[in-house]
Amino acid sequence: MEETKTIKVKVFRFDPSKDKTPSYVTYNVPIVEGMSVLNVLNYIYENLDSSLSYYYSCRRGSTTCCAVMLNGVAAQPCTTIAKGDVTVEPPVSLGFKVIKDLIAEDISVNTRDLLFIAREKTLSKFKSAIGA
Amino acid sequence: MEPKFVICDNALCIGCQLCESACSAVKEKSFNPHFSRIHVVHSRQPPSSMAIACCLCEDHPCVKACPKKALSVNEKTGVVQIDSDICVACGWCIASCEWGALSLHPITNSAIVCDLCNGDPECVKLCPKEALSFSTMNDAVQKTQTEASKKLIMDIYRSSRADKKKS
Repeated sequence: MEETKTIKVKVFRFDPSKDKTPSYVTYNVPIVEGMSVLNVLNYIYENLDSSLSYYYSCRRGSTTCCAVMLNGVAAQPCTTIAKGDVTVEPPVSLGFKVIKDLIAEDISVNTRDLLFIAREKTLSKFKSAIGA
Repeated sequence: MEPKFVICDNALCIGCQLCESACSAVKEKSFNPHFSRIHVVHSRQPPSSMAIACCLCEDHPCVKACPKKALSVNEKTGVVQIDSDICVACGWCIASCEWGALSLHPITNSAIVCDLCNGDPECVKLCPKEALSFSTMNDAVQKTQTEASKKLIMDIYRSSRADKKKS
């Protein structure tokens, strides 16, 4: 029988329609060797809290639609192996708008917008520097 | 050692966008500002222009923000390298850069960033007003301070001469 270990998973929770400020909820999840962070989120959804919102598609690291911040660094939960305690949050620190829990807006949907984001950021930084 | 990168003096920049053309010509063999690794922005009020390329930040937020780990830092030069085979154009690096130095290639759909042309940037060579310089941040600040103090002294000298003429 495979050896199980319990890890603490700290998950970002925020529902803009109900909550005023975001909060973190910690879940104790039993893991087996080789389990990915996406499997951990699936375990939380299926056994501990079905109100958790997250998104995934290919489950093998081809797309970045499931990407979240794991311990403050961007990563794909489907290809990251769960080893110890982990903090899972949407990319709020990068300025993304949160839709619910771990789902943030996807800026890559409209490529045309993505082309102009860089220039708009540079212009706003420049204008603030020269006091415009 | 402090890293060298392309710095623009907005007091000298006239917004001609020749640096963008030079960059796209060298890197992509075409004259399209969308292919450029350096971006020129114009402010209407007050009228001023400035070009910006990768500033080689110490903490590299773009490298940390890539969920596919397509971005890496060259240990020798400190330049951010992007593996276009891994990049899926999710835009997280573009969102993480507060200066807007990274952009998206419209055809290959991969993020692009200034690689300093192996230590000899073409945009710096081509700038007609010598607004662009390939130097460290400290050197650029010193140069700007020296020029500002020169200008201040000249202004005081001119105003004192004008006062003498009036009297």
